[in-house]
Amino acid sequence: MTCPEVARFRHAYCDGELDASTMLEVEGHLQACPACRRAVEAEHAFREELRRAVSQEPVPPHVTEKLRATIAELHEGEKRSARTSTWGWRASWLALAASVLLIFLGGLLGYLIAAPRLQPALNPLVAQLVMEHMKFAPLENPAELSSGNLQQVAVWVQGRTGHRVQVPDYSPAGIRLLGGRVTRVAGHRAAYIVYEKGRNIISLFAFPRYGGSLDGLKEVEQSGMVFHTAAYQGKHILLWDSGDMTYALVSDIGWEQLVDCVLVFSRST
Amino acid sequence: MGPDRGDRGRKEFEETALVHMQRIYNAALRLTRNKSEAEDLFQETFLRAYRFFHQFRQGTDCRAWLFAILHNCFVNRVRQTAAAVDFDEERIYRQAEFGTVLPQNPEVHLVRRLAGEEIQRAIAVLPPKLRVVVVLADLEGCSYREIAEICQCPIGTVMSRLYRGRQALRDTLRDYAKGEGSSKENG
Repeated sequence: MTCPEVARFRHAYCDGELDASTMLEVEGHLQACPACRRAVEAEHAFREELRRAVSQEPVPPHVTEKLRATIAELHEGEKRSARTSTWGWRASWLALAASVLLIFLGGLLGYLIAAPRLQPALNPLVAQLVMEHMKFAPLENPAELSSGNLQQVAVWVQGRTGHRVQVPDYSPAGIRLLGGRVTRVAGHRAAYIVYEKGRNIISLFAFPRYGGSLDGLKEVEQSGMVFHTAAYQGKHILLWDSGDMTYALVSDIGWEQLVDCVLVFSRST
Repeated sequence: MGPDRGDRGRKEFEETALVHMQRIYNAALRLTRNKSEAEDLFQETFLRAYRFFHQFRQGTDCRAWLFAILHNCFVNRVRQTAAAVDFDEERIYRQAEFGTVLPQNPEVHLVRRLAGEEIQRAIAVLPPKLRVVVVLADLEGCSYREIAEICQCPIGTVMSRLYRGRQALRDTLRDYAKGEGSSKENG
């Protein structure tokens, strides 16, 4: 091994990240070359000094107290909401009847616009949207810009994509805005608005009106709007046009909830 | 609606996640430029961790998981707050050739000469992407693989960022030692 090669491996060597055979080669060279040996020693010494200089600071008590207090508060809130969701509805037969009816209607609506039962050819747009969704949905925080503010996300997305995108408020359906991302769909820059319902991520994509093939999607009319639906890899897609943009919702939550979203969306526009 | 968890979940969070408060606090201090920013980042990291604790796989390394959340929160902050600070400003340092031989090493003396505060400042003015890997590797002792997972990038990227970050840190320290400390910050 030559000096330049050793120099190239120096950081990885000092970090203990070389595989055994390369490490032996480097060590072989170091035995014979005082200059490289000094460089390695200096590297170690530099890091040690750095660690010493940047000493650990204990977490200030007010910081830990604040954190523990917030967690306790969140925890109490969760317990309260668990209690009301367990007992609250039982107290009212009316509420029970209403929820049964809602579940039934939701199921029926879902059934009516459900994915085609015969497995059609996979549409490339569907595949792309589902893949994008699956890429980001499992992330701790799928949004690039984390914000629950509709206006802020709309402005940010417009700045990054050049598209005026409506960022719908789905909060009446219990769906929380997490923020925005920028991505590409069908060869165009696209806005990717991220929502969350319970533990499920809902992705809303917006891109210039899609003129490609919609083969493999099912056309559905609902409240005067035309949608295209599909299911792929266990995810559901709902696609529609608005102005000069095409919007697509992707999620693994049930149909009835996607329908909820769209109805809220159409009412707000 | 938060995830459903009982007292056991909270206790588990205490025992698994909150035991790493010290590490996360120190990393937050190194990543940010002042204490109040660090405290915010710290709070945000743990509250997010609490919210997503159901996604944490028991038996895996909670410290690395927390670092990943910290990194995420940090990246979001940089992107939101600093239109002027280019998150990709690392390209400034791209001209640094990977693997060049350093002159015989005077940097150790540099670190010895400078006060801890100046060194922290030198870390804090590193471009964010480089700062993250330097803090994780050199101060927190994370492996390349861990850093790659935390930052969600290939190991090769970790290595080159680490190289450039360390190089940039040395340059800044050299400037500080020459009494030019403020020039880099403003530039």
